[in-house]
Amino acid sequence: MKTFSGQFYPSYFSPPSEATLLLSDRTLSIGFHDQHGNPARQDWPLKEVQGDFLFAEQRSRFTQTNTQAEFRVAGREAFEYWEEIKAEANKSWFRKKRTGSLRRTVALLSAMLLSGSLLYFFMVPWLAEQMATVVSKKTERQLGDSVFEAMKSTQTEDTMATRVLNDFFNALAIETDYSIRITVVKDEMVNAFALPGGQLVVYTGLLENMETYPELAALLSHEFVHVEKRHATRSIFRSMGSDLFVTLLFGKSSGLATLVIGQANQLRTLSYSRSLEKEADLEGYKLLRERGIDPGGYDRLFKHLKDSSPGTEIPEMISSHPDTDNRMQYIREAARGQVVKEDPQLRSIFAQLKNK
Amino acid sequence: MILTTTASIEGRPVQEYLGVINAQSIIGANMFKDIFAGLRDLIGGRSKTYERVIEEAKEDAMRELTQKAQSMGANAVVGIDLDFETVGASGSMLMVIATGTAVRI
Repeated sequence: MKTFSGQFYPSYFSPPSEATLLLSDRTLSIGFHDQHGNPARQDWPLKEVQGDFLFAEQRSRFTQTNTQAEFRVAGREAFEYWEEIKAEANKSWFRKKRTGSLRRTVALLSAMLLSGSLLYFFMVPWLAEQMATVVSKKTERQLGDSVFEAMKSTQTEDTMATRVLNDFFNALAIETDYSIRITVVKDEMVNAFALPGGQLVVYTGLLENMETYPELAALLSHEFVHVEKRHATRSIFRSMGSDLFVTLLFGKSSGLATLVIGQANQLRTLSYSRSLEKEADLEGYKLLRERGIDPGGYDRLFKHLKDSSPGTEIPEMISSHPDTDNRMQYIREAARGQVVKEDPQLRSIFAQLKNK
Repeated sequence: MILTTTASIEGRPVQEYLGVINAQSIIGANMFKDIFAGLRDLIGGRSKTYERVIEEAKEDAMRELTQKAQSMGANAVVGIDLDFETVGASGSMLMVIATGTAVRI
């Protein structure tokens, strides 16, 4: 922005008046006094202005192309500055110094959004997964055990059922580097979960509903896959990674944006959790298939889960598990044509649980 | 047109005082600039993105001040004072107030 003093010619025939000129990359304004002596101002759109240098007069001249009004100022300086402004305006949008251009802003924003989402959706999870694989089994076990110990004090164990379930799992003869320890907790909740490193916790509420041994086999194989595929450890690293990324980008300021971003991040974590549950279902089912155990166990297991919470089906998008009907569906599809054979050993162990 | 922070202009006595004028410009750095500036804060160094925002806000305020002076028939603004202030809930917006006296010399 520069200012000058010079002469203003409102039209070709009118006499000049002393006037001021403001020249910037956005506007050209002229302050002058009209024929009655009142102060006035004219703003000329830059597109309608022509600038040149009058060599004979040694003056810079600006002409409004529509009205033919002129402003003249002594010296070359104004004209040179005008050339600078025009050169800047004619530069391609990405070389401009100022950030006024909409196209440039939009392009920059979309480039940043793109790279940001690439980072968020691919790089961060990938790095987190890499880090999770570095964690040793020993560390996983320590992590799981410390959670288990903290939880244990508030729960009562069903020692008899615990023994039976461990026997049952050993009878399944699943090969693994983890030492799987199952604990049955007295609680009406219809639930079970796996901790990193091999601790499986099953609530009696879920066992009471079971009628046949394939259901138990389905449950244990599902939870076993969570351990074997390090689902808990991977989830921890992934959510830590994306939390860190979001905090780095958006800061920890509290505000509407943070709230929205936090929720979106949460949804993403849930979607990952659903994909892990599906993996556990399908991989767990494979273990049953190898042993010729009835895949209907999964079906009935899911049915218990569904019955335990009637009318509280939440939309899959905001749930940590896939929709129960979906789970039944993909297991049924996977189980098509499977040969089922009875396993007397598993059956008798399961009977101990029911006859206690 | 002379714009100056001093109260008088050397060798050009003020003929007429036209009044105190001011102009302000409030500008948001925008979320993405905040991110870049945040990174700068993390690794250290000059934050060009914020510097440019301040420069832009100052230019806007000065341009408006000049246009006001022109409308009043002034040919100089003396005693210009520039105030910089952050506004907004998290102080993420920048306000520049330019105050001066429009005069004829």
